[in-house]
Amino acid sequence: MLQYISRRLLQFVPVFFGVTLLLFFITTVLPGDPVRLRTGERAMSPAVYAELREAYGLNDPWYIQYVNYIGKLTKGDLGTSIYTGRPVTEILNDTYPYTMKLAFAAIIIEIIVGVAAGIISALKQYSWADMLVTLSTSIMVALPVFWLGLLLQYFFGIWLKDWTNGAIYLPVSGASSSQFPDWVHLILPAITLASVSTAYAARIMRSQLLEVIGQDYVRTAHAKGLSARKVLWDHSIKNAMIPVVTFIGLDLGAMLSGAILTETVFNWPGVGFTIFRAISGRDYPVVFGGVILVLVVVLVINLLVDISYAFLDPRIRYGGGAGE
Amino acid sequence: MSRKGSQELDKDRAEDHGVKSYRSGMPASPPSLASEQHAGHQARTLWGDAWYRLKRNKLALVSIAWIMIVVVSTVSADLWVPRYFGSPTEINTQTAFAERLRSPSAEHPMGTDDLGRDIFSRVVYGARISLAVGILAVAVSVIIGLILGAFSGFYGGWPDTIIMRVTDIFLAFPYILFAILLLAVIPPEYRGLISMVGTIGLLGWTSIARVFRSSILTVKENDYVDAGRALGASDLRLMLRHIMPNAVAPIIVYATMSIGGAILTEAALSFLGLGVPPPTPSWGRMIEEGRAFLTSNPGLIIWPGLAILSTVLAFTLLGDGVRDALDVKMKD
Repeated sequence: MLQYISRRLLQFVPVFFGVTLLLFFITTVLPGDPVRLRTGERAMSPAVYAELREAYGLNDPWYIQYVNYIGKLTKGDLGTSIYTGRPVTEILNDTYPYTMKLAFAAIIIEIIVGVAAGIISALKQYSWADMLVTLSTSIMVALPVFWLGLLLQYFFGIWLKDWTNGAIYLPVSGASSSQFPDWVHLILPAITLASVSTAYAARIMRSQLLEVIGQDYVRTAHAKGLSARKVLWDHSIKNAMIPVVTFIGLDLGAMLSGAILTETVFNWPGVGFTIFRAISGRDYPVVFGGVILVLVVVLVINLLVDISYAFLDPRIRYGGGAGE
Repeated sequence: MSRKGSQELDKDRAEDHGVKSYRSGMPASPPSLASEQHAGHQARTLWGDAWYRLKRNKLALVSIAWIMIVVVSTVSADLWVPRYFGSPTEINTQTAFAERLRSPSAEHPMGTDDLGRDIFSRVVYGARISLAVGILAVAVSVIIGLILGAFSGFYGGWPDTIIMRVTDIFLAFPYILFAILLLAVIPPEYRGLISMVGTIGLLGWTSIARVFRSSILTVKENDYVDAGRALGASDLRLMLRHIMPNAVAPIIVYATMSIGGAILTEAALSFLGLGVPPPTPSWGRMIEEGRAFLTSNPGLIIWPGLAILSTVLAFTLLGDGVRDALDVKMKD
C-alpha cells in the first residue's frame, strides 16, 4: 500500500509541472498588459510603468518567471495580486472556505437524493417512480447549470415572493445578509451545483444495484433464509455502493476545484469566481495561485478515492507484485 | 504474462477516466432475439443490425426528429424567419422602444427582447452556432483522439506513456477553467466560431483517445490480427482494415453523446462572455443578456434555455439509443 501511494505521489510530479508550465505558457501569450489594466484609463509616467513591470517581473522571459515563481512557491509565497496588491495566499484564504461550504453542501444533496433515488428506482424497476427517476435524470444531465441557477432564482426569489406577498422566499445571491442565517444562502447554489452529479449518482446507483441483485450470491443469501432486509442492505446495497462512492469522491474533487458557473450566477465569492475574474483582469498571480491550489486539491482527492477502493473492495490490492 | 497484466491494468485505468457518461439500463428494452429472427429475413451486418434496433427505439426516433426539426429550421431560416418574425439582429431604431420587452403574441410567439428584436427569430438563428460548435468540436476531438489513441494503443511503449501523461495533465486541469484560459488568449475581436470549435475540440480529445486506446488494446489481442500480421500486412493495413472497424463502435457512441456536452459547454462559455461576439445570436449569450430582466421578463432567459435543454436532451437520448443499438458497454 505504501509503495502504491508513493508511486502515485511520484506521478503527481509530471502532472504538476505539466499543468503549471502550460499555465505559464498560456498566460504569456495572453494579450493585455496587467499593469496598464491596473491603472485603467489614467495616464502613467513611463518611469512608473517601467518600475511596476520590473517589480512584477513582467520583463523577464516566461521561463525565468516560471523558475522564479516555483522558487517562491516552495517557500509558500504565491506573490501578490497585481490588481489589489493583497497577498494571493490571503485572497485564497478568504475565498476558499466559500468554495468548500458550497461543495460539501452540494455533496450532501448528491449523496442523499442521488443514492436514494437510485435505490428506489432499482428496487421498483419499471414502476412509475423508476420512470420518473430515469426521465428526470435525463433532463438534469441536459440542463445548462447556469440556466437552472437563474430559474431557481426566479422561482424561489421572485415568483414565490410575489405569490406569497413577500412572506416566503429564498435569498438569490451573495453569501451573507442580516435577513437570513448563513446556511439559507447555500440552498439555491448547492442545488444548482449538485443537479448534474445527483443525476449521475442516481443512474450509477440504479444500474449497479440492478446488476448486484441479479448475482448468484444474492440468490444464495435469499435461499439460505436471510431476511429480505438483511440481503438488501448487507449483501446488495453495500456492494453496489462501491462505484457510487468512487463517483461521488471524484465529484467532490471537481466541486472543490471551484464551480465557476454556479458561483458566477449566484455571486458566490468562491475560488472559481475569483479565478474567473482574475483571468478577465489579467491578474496572473491570482490565476496561478488559484489554479495551483485547485490542482493540488484534485490530485490529492483522486488519490484518496483510489486508496479507498482497497478498503471498500477487499479484492483490490495495490502494489506488491500486482502487474506493474 | 507480465505484459498482459500491465495491459489489463492500463485498460482499467482507461476505463476509470475514460467515459464521463454513465447511462445504462434505460427502460426502453432492447428487442429480444426471437422477435429479431422473425422480422429479419436476410443476414445483416453489424451496422444493419444496429440500425434495425435503433429504429425500434422510440426515444431515439423522437430525438432524431427533433434534431432534424432544429437543423432544417435553422438552415432554412433566411427563407421564412425574417419575413414573418423579424430580423434576429437588426435593431429598428424607430420602433425599438415601443416594441421592446413585448409579451408573447401571434406576431412574436416568444415576445421581444430589450432591443425590440423577436426572441423566436433569435432562438432559431441561435441554433446555428450551437449545432455548428457541437458537431465540429466533437469532430475535432474525434480526429485528434483517434490518431493519438490508435498510436498509443497499437504501439504501446514510450509513445503510449507520453500520450497518457498528457491526457493526465488535461484531466487534472479543471475543464471549464482551461477553456476560459484558452479563449482569453484570443483577442475579443477574433473570437468566434473557429476559436470556440478549436477550444472545445482541443479539450475533448483526451477522453476519446483513452476510450479508443482501451478498445484497441482489447481488439489487437484477437487471433485474426495475428493472422493478418502473419500474412505480411503492414501496420497501417492492420490498423485500418482489422483493428479500426472492430474498435470504433464505442467511439461512435461516445461522439454522439459528446455533441450534447459540447453544446452545453459552448452555451456556458457564451454565458461567461467568451463566445461568438454580438450581434450573432447564441443561446448562451441570450441568457446572459436576459439576466438583467429576470425580475420583470423571465421569458428572455426561458426560451433560449429551453432550446439548449431540448437539443442537448435529444443528442443524449440519441446517444443512449446508439449505445443500445451497437450494444456497447460504457463504463465510467
